[in-house]
Amino acid sequence: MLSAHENHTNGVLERETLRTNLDRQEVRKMRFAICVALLVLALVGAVMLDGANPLAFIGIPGLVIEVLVPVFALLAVWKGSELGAACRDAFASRRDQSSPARSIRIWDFAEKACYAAGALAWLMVMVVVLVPRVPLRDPADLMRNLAVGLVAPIYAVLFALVCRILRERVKQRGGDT
Amino acid sequence: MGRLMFFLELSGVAYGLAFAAAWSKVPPRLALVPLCAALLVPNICALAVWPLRKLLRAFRDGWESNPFRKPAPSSIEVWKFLERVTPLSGIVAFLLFLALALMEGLSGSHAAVAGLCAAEAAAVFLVFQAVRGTVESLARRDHEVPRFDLSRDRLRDYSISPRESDVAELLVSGLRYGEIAQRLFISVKTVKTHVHRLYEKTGARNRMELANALRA
Repeated sequence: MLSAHENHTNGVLERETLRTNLDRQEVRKMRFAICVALLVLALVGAVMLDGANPLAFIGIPGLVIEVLVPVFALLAVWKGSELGAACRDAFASRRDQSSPARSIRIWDFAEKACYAAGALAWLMVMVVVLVPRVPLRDPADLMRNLAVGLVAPIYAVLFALVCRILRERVKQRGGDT
Repeated sequence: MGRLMFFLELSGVAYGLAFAAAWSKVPPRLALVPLCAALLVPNICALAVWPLRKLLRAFRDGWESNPFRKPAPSSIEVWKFLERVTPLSGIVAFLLFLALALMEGLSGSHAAVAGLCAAEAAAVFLVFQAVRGTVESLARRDHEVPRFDLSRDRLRDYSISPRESDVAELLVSGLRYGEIAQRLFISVKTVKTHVHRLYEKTGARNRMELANALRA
């Protein structure tokens, strides 16, 4: 039988361990967020170095397609709780991961869904551009419309890159465990 | 390392050719843009997965010249990841600048930068692939040399010193002078001196005769 003092000490130790694990998770999330921000900044910086305006790449329709289509595709296959577990597994330590194999499959599927959504969005824009309702007066307009069509695939590859990072994080079991 | 250097040279030539072709269209400051896409982005992605110390270890293992130093298992994973992510970052950069070129009516400068991004990403991909291959082959390599037992009595008879006996053991196991030097942390010149003394003391003319002279 453990004495009251030993029970108290064990309880304090457990709480300390839990707090340390939570702190580590926060650090991992923070590092991931900083790296994704740096990733976007590197690309924005490259565009600015080229003397172009990065705001030209903000396309709400492309963003909506790129976010919603993979999310709905994921929800069609897995439950919300399983998707939540996949997100948690990407930042949890080896011991705290609930189902790493399933999480890897989920992030793999998400990456492929991003590519599919990007291709779909590009094809949709091509149909709209190449079948104009009014005759084109300036061929430069056609170029601009084609450029708009490329915004969705850019989002697609970026999101796929993020999904790949998350999958690799799950695979490496929290990265720094 | 030889294969790695070959790929490095190849990628350097590929980049040089691509840059020379696009030189008239691209201002020099834009040379930084493809570098940013091909080198910075994959490394930032790797930093999102592994802590910095593991990345540094992977880079050290990638350029390791000592064949007896076993690379860390995470190093192979890091190089595999970099290899897979580089084409993606190249595609993003290519699409970005292609879109810019289209927006400005297929402007020469943007189109050239898009091409450079693709060329640079392909070159960096080749380099990462070569480094990954090198690290994998180092990891697969049997780091234990088959042990050749020397006769203690014969070593005493020929008055061979402990260090000479270490060199003799590796020499008759079939290692080259450079490998012996790396394994014993001494210079190749010192190895040659030890080998010369060994041959002098035992009267052997080659490592076969030395093995026969010192066999247990």
